[in-house]
Amino acid sequence: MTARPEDRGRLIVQFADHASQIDCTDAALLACLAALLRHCRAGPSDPAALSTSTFEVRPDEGATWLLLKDGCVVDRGFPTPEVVERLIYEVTLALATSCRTSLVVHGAGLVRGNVGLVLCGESGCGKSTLATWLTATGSDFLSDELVALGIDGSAMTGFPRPIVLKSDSAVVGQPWWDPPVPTPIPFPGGRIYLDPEQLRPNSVRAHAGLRVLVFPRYSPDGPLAIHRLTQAEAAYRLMPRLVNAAILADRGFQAVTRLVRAVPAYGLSYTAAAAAVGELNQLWLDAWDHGPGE
Amino acid sequence: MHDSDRPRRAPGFQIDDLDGEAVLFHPVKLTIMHLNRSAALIWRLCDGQRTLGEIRDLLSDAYPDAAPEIQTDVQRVLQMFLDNESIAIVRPGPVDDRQA
Repeated sequence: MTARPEDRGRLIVQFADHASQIDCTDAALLACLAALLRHCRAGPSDPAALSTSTFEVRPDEGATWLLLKDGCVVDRGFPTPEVVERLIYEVTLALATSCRTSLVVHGAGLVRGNVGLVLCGESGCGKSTLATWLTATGSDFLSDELVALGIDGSAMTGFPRPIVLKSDSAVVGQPWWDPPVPTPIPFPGGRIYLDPEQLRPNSVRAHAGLRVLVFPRYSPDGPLAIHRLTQAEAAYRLMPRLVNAAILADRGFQAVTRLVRAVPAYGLSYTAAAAAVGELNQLWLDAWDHGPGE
Repeated sequence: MHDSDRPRRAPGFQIDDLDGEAVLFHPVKLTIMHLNRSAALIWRLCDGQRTLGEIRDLLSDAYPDAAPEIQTDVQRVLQMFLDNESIAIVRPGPVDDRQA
């Protein structure tokens, strides 16, 4: 029987054209990381062909942990839950900011059939809540945080790490919500790290055809409203959401304007997630009517 | 801003026309602006040669039905450009007696 990489103290995760290698000699901690990042692992032949960042978690003083990136200390003195959160954050950041072949956006990726939809927006706009809701009710999940969009606007790739929800999230208490399987460790602030397959088995997908961009905005007192954005409005909203702009030609400007010419974009203002999901489902139906995608 | 001011596009900005509107972007300053049709047109007219008054007259002649709005819009849009440092104002310097 072949040893899995984590049995040798190593885990490799991938997003688009970049990989991150995580070295950790503590079997329990590595098993926790492997469980949390299980949908993001690099394929068996991929890592050698990819550019790679290397992270290492070492025991530190007083039962805490030391975190290194490419041999340099990121920080030290982490209790276990904090080092897991910080490592996932640092790995996500390294993967996102190192990608040269796609536009990486801060967004959630969902798909029905092969009609891919990206919810693009800043923290707090409801990406994770809507992604949870949509996954539970039949959409496939690519990511709640990072999506790589092909420069030609035809394809999208997700980073399917766990969905991160606040303990008082609007999804808790919904009919489809079962108390999630406890994560191996309690995270600070009662945050929930939810494997999308806890919501619906086999719901994780790696790729989809990109068909619709949506810019959601949670508006506690406003009416539910969805409207088609002009191409210029879409470019204006998309540019600040680019995570890897610093390493792209023109900071991704030409690629963004090319993309918004090819992909319709909408602004969505909502108060109740259930109502927003209804609007998004209608967008899917409309996109499907114009062709089922690649 | 005065009618005799000559607005000039600041260097380094990229503009992309998108279905009549435009997006203006500076890749170093990371300034981004969404320009509607008239704002995009005004930005293109800021060549450092035309005065504010000439730009306003040009647009009023081209769109006579919208002339009243243009009177105020040009000033407002140019002020927005100025605030975002996407234009600079060229003003004639004092007359140099030695050259006169």
